[in-house]
Amino acid sequence: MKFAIIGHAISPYGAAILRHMLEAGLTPTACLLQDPEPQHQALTRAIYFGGAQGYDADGHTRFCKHPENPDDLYRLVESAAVPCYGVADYADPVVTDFLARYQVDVIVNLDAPPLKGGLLYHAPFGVLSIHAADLPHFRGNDATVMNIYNNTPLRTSAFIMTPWMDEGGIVEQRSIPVHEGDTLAQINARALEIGAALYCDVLKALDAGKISFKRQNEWEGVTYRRSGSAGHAEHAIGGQFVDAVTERLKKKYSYAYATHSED
Amino acid sequence: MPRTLKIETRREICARERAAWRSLGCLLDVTVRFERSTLDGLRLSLGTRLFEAPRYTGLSDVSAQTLMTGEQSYQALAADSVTVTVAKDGTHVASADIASAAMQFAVLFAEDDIQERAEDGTISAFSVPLFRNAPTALLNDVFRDLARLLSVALDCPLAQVHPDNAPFSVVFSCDVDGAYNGPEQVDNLMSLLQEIGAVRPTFMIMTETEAEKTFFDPIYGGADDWVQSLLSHDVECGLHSSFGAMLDLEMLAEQKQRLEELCGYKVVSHRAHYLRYRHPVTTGYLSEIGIRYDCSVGYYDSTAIRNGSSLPVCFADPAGRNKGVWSLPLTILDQHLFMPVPDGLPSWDLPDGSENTAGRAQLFDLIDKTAERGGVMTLDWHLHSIAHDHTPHHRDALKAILEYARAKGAWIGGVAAFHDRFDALYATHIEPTDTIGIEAGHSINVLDEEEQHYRGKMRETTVNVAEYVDATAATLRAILPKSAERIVDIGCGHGWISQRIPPFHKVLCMDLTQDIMADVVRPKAIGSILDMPLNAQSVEFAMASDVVEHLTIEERAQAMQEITRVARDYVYLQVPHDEALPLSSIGCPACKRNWHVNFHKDSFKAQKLIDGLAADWVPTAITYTGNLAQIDNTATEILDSRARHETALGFAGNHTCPYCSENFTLSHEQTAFVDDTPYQQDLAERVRQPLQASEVGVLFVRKDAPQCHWVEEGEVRLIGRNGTQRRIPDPLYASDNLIDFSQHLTNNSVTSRALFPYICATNCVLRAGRAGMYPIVYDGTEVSMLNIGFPRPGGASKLTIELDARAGSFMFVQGFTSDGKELFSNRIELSPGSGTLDVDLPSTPPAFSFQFIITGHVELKRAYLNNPPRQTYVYDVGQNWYLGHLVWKKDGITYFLIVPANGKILSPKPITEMAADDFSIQP
Repeated sequence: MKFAIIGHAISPYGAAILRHMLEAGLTPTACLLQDPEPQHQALTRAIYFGGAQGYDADGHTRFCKHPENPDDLYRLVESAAVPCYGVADYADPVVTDFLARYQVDVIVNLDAPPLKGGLLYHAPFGVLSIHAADLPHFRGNDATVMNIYNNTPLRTSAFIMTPWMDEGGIVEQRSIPVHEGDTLAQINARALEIGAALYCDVLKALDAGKISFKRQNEWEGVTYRRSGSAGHAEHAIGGQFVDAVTERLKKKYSYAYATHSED
Repeated sequence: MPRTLKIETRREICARERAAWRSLGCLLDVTVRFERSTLDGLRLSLGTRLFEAPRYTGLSDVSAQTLMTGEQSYQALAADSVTVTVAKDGTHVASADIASAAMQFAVLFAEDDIQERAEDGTISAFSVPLFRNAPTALLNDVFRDLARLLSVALDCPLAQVHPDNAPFSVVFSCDVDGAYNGPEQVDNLMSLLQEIGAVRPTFMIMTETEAEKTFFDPIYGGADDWVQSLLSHDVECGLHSSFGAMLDLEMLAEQKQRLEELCGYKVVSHRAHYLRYRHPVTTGYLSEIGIRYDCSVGYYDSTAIRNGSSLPVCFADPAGRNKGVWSLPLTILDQHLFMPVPDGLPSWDLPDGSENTAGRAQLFDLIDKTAERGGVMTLDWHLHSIAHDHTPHHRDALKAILEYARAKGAWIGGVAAFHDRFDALYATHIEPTDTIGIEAGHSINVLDEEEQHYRGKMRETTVNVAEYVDATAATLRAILPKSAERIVDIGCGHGWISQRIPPFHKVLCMDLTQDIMADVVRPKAIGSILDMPLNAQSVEFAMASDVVEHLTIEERAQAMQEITRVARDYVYLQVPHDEALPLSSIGCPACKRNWHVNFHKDSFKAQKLIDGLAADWVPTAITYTGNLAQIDNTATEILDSRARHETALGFAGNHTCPYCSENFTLSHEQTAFVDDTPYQQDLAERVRQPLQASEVGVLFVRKDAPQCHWVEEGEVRLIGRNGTQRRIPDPLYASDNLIDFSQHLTNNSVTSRALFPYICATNCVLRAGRAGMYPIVYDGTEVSMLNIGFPRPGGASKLTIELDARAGSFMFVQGFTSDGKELFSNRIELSPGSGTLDVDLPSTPPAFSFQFIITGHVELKRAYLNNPPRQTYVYDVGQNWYLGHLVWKKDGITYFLIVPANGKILSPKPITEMAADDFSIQP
């Protein structure tokens, strides 16, 4: 199973998942690093002007390096000697040009945004992603909070991405335990840990051909979206939901699926 | 012979509304038929009697009103100041639209937008504005009231819908979801029910496992003595799905199965624990697992929902599986009568345990109203509240209600027993249009290699990752008329497209063999476009996506006859667009014969599809979808209709010659593009023509069928995936051999380089100056590097740069070919002030891109080549509209053009001036 990963260059989240993969003996064949710095993005774009083939595969990745952040994905990728490419624009054909060299079977999305267009269809198995909420019912941003708020079992879901947010075929789902008195941060950390293990297991299952897909219907879920239309980033849900969930987690028997310590 | 109620209106009646009309038909004992007319309103006709209401204008002014019909008055849900008058010809005319407002209300009140359903799936009565404003409105059965009004207006007696010819019914259901004292509670309740003569009362039983249990779910075993005691009585077991099952199809199915194992028969009734419900998701799931009656819709904090004496509504086929679910709303929950409620609402005791005299009067008044209107009162009691110390009066309240109702002549019984009469009426009056009849035992001959090919495709693409499938599914949804209730998807394959048709449409998938359709989840049948096992006009909408190109000319004529035979109103044909067949052919190394890699036998443009159907089928929409010729892609990755098989799914791989059975393999290298072939040149030219879509489709409407309407003639709109609309931005007008640095440069990015000049600032950013832009370096070096390129440099002999330089500035200009080879490098001293710089260019190969290395301060104004320019209109709608459509209407035909991933639609002329075949490559 040859797979590529996509993630933010300086993301500790992506780094945590990759570390888990490397420990499980899964090394990516290639890596696309989303670079948050505009000047680096400009460079990535510029490289294309004469054709990407004129450049060394990882010759420009130095621009993605962020020495001030030791937990970044880039460092881990570099230490694992994975060829990588700094991406400014996922629609740029140079991205698929780069991936085409490695003939990957699946692309693993660690923490990139929803993708659209050619990249989704590049690998035979598409783009695998994990969503820390129960699909198909809670899609989009802040879905973990809404999953708890709705008092339904919290699950993390591995799925194959489609152009629409979190609506792809579900590959596997796993429960995220919630304990009485947990904070949202603790739950998110647990979701990350379980998600990383799930990525590894799904990749192995894909390799073994032991995977089945459950289709989602568009009408089965609610999608919570962040918005930037007001000129600044708006949260997908109101603060009252976060407050309510935070309060609920503190109370005994308030979230129906929390486990409780013995009285 | 049942009578037929004809409903005519100009607007489309959606599937859910039809369900409500049909439920109304049961009350009037008539069969309902829908017709489109030019009438700006609603006309109902039965025999010679007519009822007319003006156009529906929304629900904002809906409240409870008294309707006067001359002889009788009705308290009913209606628009303000409505009156019904009788014209000289006997037609009853309403002054406001009563019928569709009431219908919308009846259908949607509990299940959709009007009702404020909480995030956890429950509804609080006190959160509903209509409840707060007019509590009495909730005590009216709008459904029954409309039936009574129409009964007078159309001279049509009301049907007897209650069992045993009773004037009204009390449906008794009991939730089994608490801690029990023992079998004595069961005996106590059953003795009361037997005494009152209740017919097969319903007990909603929970069967969740330890793993499914939450704090809010009790757990008990089938072997418990009180469960056994319950099962020994003549009761109906319904499913009381657990707290977490509202959004979990598998959990619902498993709980139902466990209950069936316990009681030994098919379970058909359901109520969700805590009344947690989300329409239409839960409705769809219940339909899928075979539940026929749902009683979950109700308030947890007050009596009555949808209306006080509500009759059930049948949601026909929410999951597209030909199974309906009757929704019977809840009237009284035992706890309602023991909670603090505002004055004027039914209650039994005050919270302190003292008797609430006024509340009890309201309760009996509610029963009186139900009796007067011939409605249904659904009770939900809890077994654990019977004869329990904590709930001493629950049994008394129940006894009083049942005795009072019995004295008024009510039929009292369980959910399934009550629905028997409705089921019979519904079965009598269901139109043949409600189901798709399939002839049994139909079989067809399939050519082995083609069947193998289609089946093989399924296996290769287990995971559906094909852009054109996403695109064509989005396009189908965009054009699908609301009135297309039954759909046949001919050549459905994997069910890729039909699985995305939204709920409340009945879809029949059809393909050559069961093997091909192994993954199809909707109803399916074997058949081909040449021979379908369907009666004439048995579906409203027949579609064949990527089928017609597999037919010979003779077969195509037969197929068009067959598809127009089975389709009542609409035919949608979609094929690869303007395909160059020889370029996608494979040659056998042994016998040297060629065949198309996907067995395509013909190539199509829109007009050719239009010409294929008889004149009584009118083309109403043309769709351009699939992969848009991606000017974003590099030449070897262009996925236009000619080249799209140049992928792992196409040429490369194992092949068997259909003529001599030779097996051979083609590698990716063998099938790769070779430069300078006519094909490559053709492709290159094609790329420079915008608006190349890989698929073209035509939607035909039968002349006398409901016509479709999306936009007005000449209007252009952007329609998103969920129907969101907006006006499109004005097009940018761009030239392909000019960069104007004084203009907005967003569109001159690298991702549009095949059509537009591009600019890339390598180690600098561009800042706006007085008349253009100047670069500022940010990486600590002294020179800034700027790359620009032109998509069509052929024929240019000079690059001109207009600039304004400060003293001491100079620049290098380097030229490169399209594959990155350096052609020249000139160092140019710049004189201070404004000036023009000319760079001579070699004619072969042409310079595709240039690098400017600038030292000092240089403001760039314009850069251009001296070859003739080509202008393009750019509609930049943004990436968020990906797979939405640009829709416009010209000469009576509506065009749908799919929005590509980069949100940019490019056109050689204004989009409304494009004619059907302008989208094809011009010879």
